[in-house]
Order: sequence, then C-alpha cells, then structure tokens
Amino acid sequence: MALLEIQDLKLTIGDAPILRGLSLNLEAGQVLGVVGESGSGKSMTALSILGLPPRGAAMEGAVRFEGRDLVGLPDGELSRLRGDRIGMVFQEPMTALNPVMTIGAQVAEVARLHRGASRAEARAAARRTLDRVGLADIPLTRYPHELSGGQRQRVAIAIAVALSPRLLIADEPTTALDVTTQAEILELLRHLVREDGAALILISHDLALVAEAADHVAVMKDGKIVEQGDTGAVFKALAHPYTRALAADAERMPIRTRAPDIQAAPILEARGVVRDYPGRRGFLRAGRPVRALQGVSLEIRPGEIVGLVGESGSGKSTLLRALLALDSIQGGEVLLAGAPFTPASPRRRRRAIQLVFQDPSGSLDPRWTVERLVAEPLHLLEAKLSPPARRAKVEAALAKVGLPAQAADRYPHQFSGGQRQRIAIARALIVEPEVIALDEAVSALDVTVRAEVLDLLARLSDDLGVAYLFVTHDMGVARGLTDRVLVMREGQIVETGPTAEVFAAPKHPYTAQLIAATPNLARALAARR
Amino acid sequence: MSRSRLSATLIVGGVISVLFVVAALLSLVWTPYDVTAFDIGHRLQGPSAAHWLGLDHFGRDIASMILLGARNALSVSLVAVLLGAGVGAPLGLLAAARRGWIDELVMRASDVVFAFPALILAILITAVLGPGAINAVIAIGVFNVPVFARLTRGSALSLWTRDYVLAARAAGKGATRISLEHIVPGLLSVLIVQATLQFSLGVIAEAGLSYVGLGAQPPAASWGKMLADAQTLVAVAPLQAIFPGLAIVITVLGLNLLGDGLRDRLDPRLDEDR
Repeated sequence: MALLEIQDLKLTIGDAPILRGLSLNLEAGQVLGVVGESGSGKSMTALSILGLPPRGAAMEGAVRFEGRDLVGLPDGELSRLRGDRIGMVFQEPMTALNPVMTIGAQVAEVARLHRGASRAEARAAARRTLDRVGLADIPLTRYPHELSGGQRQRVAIAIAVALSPRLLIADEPTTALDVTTQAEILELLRHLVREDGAALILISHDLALVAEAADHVAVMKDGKIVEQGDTGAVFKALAHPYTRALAADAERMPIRTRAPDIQAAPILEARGVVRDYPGRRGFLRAGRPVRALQGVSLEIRPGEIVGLVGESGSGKSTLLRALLALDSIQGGEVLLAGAPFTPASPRRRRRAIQLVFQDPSGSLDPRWTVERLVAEPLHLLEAKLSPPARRAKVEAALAKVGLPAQAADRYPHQFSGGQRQRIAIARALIVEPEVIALDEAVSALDVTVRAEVLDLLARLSDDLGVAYLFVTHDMGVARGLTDRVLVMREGQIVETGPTAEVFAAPKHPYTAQLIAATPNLARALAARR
Repeated sequence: MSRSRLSATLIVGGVISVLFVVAALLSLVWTPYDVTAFDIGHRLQGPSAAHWLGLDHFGRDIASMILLGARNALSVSLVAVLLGAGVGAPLGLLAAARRGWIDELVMRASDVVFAFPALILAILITAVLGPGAINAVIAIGVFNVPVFARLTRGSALSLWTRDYVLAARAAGKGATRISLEHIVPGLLSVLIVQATLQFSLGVIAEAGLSYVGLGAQPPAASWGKMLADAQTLVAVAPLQAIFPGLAIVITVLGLNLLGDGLRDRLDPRLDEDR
C-alpha cells in the first residue's frame, strides 16, 4: 500500500479551478520532487494534503494517507495528523517561526501538543531534534532573529521532524537561502527522511535542484501533473513537450552577436571604494561603523556585460548603490565616463547609468500609468519635451522591450511579472544610458519568462551597445549572459575574469564552492547514470 | 475575495456626517426661530408642535440652538483639522525626506506637545488668549499638528524604502519632487482617514472648551455651552441636557464610523493589489 495516494484531486476557489484532477502515489522512503512554474498549483497541492486549503476553497477527490482518506475529515482529526504524522517546511523560515518564542520552546511545543509530554521530556526531545538537524551548538534559549537564515530553516525543519513524521512536505525550502546553504539543507532533508524511513515531497520551481535531490519527479502545469516518473528517466527522455520546454528554458543561454571592445576606455570604474555603515548607536554614544565595502575596484567597458555574483550580505547591493552614487562613500572613487561621479554630481550625469530592480511590482509606483513611469527619467535630458514627443519616446522604449504602444495607458498591476520587468527595462532605456545596472533582475521570474527576459537583454545589448552590470546570486544566469564575472564575498571582490574561464577553472576556493553548490541539470543527470 | 464597496459602517457614518454638515449649512440661511429672541414667559417649556425640542431657560428655541451649535462645531473642528494637517503633514514629509536633525526637531517638538493632556492645554491656551471660537480653533489645531506630523512621517518613511522611490532617485529626482510625486499620493488615504477621526475629536474638544466657557461666546450657540447651562437645571428639566448631549454623541459616533469605514475602504495594505 502506498503511503500517500492522491486520486483525481480537484480544488476550486470561487469559480477558479486551481487543481484539475491530480493523481499521484508516494511510497515510504521515496523523495518526490514536484516542479512547475508559479501558479501551477504546487503549493496548493501541499496545502490540500495537509487539509489546509484557503478559505472558500472546495475540494473533491481522494487524498489517502496510510490508507485513510483525508478529504472531508473533520479539522480536529486533521490537526492530530499535522505536525505528528505529516510535517511541513515552508519557504521563508523567518515568517514560519514565532519571533517572540525561543527555538527550544517552538520545537518542544510539538511534543507537548501531540504526545502530552511533560515540560522536561519535551525539552529533552527538542534538544535531541535540534542536534539531529545540525544545531548541536545552539542553545534552546535562542530566538529566531539571533540565527542565520540557514539555521532558522534548520529550526523549522526540526519542528517538522520532531515526531518523526511518515511524510515530510517541503515547499521551496531553500528558495530564500543562499546557494551554499541550500545544498546543506537539501542534504539534511534527504538524510532525515532516509533515517526515519519516511517520504519527502520536495516542491520547487528549480528543475536542476529537483533533478539533484529527488528520486521521482512530478511536473505540474495548470493544476495538473503533466508527467511523472523516475527522475533520471523523465529528464533524460524529456518525452513531454512541457518538460522539454522547461528544461530548455532552464538551461538556455542567450545568444550574443557582438563582442565588447576590451581595449576601450571603461565607461564605469570603481577605484578602491570603501563604504561604512554607522554602527548601532547607544545612548549618547556613537557606534562602531560597519565596513560593508573594503576597497572594491572594478571596470566596465562600453557594451560589456559584467556579472557580479555573491551571496546575501556580501555587499553586492551596497556596491551597486555606491556605483549609482545613491549613497556617499567613505573612500576611493567612482568614475562614470571618466569623470568622478558622486551624490553631489549634476543630475543630468545620471542619464548615463540606469537601474533595474529585482521585483518589478515594487519598483513601479502602483498609482502611476506606464507612460508616466517609463517617462520618469526623461527629466534628466537637457531639453524639455512636449507631451507628444514624450509619448513618442515612451512608445519607442516600449517597442524596444516588445510591448505594444497601448501599454502606455495602463497601470502596472494590469501586467504579468515578466511584462512588468519589461516596463522597468523600458524605463531604464528611455534616456539611452551607457550602462544599466540590473539588481537580481530575473530572480523573481519563472524559468520561461526568465529565459525570455534574458534573451531580450542580450538582444538590447547587441543592438544598442549598452553595458550591463548584472548583479545576481544565480551562478547559472551569470554563466549564461555575462562576458566577465566578479565574485564578491564579505565586501571584497575575491575573483574576477572572463566568465568561461572562471567557470571552467575557478581560482578562488569560494568561487569553486559556489559553482559546486549551484544545482545543474546536466551534472545531476550525469551523476545518475 | 472582493470587498464590498460600501460597508454598513461607511453608509451609517456617511449619512450622519452629511446630516451634520447639512444642519450646519442650513443654520446659515434659516433656523426655525431667532435665537436672540427670548420668550421668557415660556422658558423651560417641553417639546411641542411649535417648538419641536422645547425652549431653554431663556426661552430660546432648542432646535434652532442645536442647528447653530452644529455650525459652530463644524467650523471650529474643520478649521482645526485643516490647520493641523496643513502644518503637520508638510512637517512630517520634511522630516521623512531630510531625516537628521530636522527629523529630530520635528519629532521631539511633537513629543513635547503630546506630553500635555490635550484638553488641559487647550484650556490653558484659550485662558491665555481669551475665550472665543477662533482661539478654540487655534487650541485644538495645535494638537492636530503633531498627530498629522507623526502619521505622515511614519507612513512616508516606509514609502521612502520602496524600490520605486529608489528608482526615482536613480532617475535623478530630488527629495521635494519625490515627496510630491510618489510619497504624497501614497499618503492621501491614511491622511483622509486620520482627518475624519481628528474631526470627531475636534467636535468633542470644542464641546469641552465651550462647556467650561472658553469656546464660542453668546449669542453664538455651542453644544458644550448648552450642556453647561442645562446642568444646573437637570433635575427640573432633564431634556435641556439630553438634546445637546445627543447631538454631540450622534455626531461623534457618525464621524468615527465614517473614519472606520474609510479606513477599511482605503486600507493602504490592500492598495497595491487593486
């Protein structure tokens, strides 16, 4: 008998079908990867198994767990299963943990609740579980904010596995984490379920990650499983067109036709840039400043695409703000087109460098029309434009990013995530800058959309000769798009060189570690052979 | 899930508030009787067909006094809110945009004003400046300033961290322009809600000031003054106190309901999804 058997599960919210007849089987000891793009119903599947669909949702079909159908079971019965027989790990550990409870109390709570354990027994169980997830050095009395992101996710996992559940569901458990931490957390999850002889459902948008971590894979699209089976078989055969498209998009490298002139004078240059943040101030006492950039130097030549990779806290965003002269720096200098560029520089000089953010919904004022948004940097131009001329410029910029002229009259919320990012790119392009800084510009996008936006960026660079500083934590994206790559760690650039060379033969151990930790579909399949 | 466009709270609050404004406007052109005409012979007479709410201790028509009182309450608290928002909101915007010592100055000054119980200081101000409607406006307005300054600063600070503000900075826009183009439109809904709530507090404060004789002076009518006059007679003619009391309660309730309804309707947290 299968541990979990889902038969023709349908879920509708209002009139909208979310899951349209989903079936799958899971045996004890298996790791099942569920992949799909956002909106495909991955998370809803997880919540349906737990009997936690959103309010107003109607469920049909059967979810048999250990032979018992969970659909229609009263909530009290389900509560007894949740946290005991079925554990769940969420994407964002900071919000999944209670910020005002110690981690020990949060892990102990599970044992108190389900097993009626005494305070002392529960505390001992919590200690044992935290030891199991690799937090042996961390006292039970710590609070979530005192831990790193990876440690917090370990605590969340400890809560989920405290009672050795038969089934563990992890929904994007590593998406909020750095790539080196991600590898450790995935290994931990696999190790724990193997030890307990339990099953794991690993939900992810990342094909390569699932290919590395899961034995079986289910590919979801529009509330249905389009293909499922043994991981190696599914990804090697790529029988289903959707799976094939996903794999192609995940691995796609944009094609570039124009090579940058490496002899040209740099358009943007940093020389020994130092940035200090004021430390935490005490009462009547200035704090010790924190040094976020320790003398960073870099050069970007016209038309060049330079990747800046590093994990969170490495100083990438701080460097970007310094290069854009949004913050003042405490040492060194930034040169734009050969002349010093500081927050005090004349505003019109900003025309030469524009910015695109990670989250297009946050970087576009929701109250503004697209025309007004895209036209915002136009006031950097010397000449004031008449409204028709302005409109013409906006339409031309929208055309460059593949959006129709009518888009100008609409509001950002009327567009999809990929389209919004195109709007943000159009806004950067409208003043014909020499450099565009892209801060994790494709990280919030689904693989298909991401591949399209990367293609667009490559084409724009070829057509317009604009240089990019591409800040990303994603080594795969950096490898695909950039000419040269800078690896950043703890406020310093530890390695730099042509992208192909750095990836083929990393010189710094940290670079090697980053590359090894990044999931890679081809490598994962080769390892399965 | 769609939120209903008009909640019961909003409708009830809106209707009461509109009636309040209509009563105030009506008193400008018409009242049932002239309140300067004393009908001493019928003083303290109860409600009748001729005088719906009866006559007070000078023989003035209470219904007419209530209408005039509405005008007084509306004008005093409206001007006080405009004063508070007009001074406080720009201060808050400035503090959020400039930070540093300007921010400290604005916020510490707000703290100082907040440190005094509002009504007591209002009484002090009017006692120094002398009683009267205009001084009541100043006294109440002074308390609205830090309320709006703090609210504006807090909301503006969170808007300043948005990526679209950073995008505007990267586009070379200055703090003033960003404040006007990106911050203010984002603040309007919170300011409107707060203005409604401060308006109702203003009505109470005005009634309080005139109750102790520091608000509008006769012949202008004020609900607070009417209450004070009726207090000594409450055993003899309880209705004298009930009508102005009801007027205050219903008006304040209506304005609060309107404020709550608007808050649900304009909740900035739900704003982004629309």
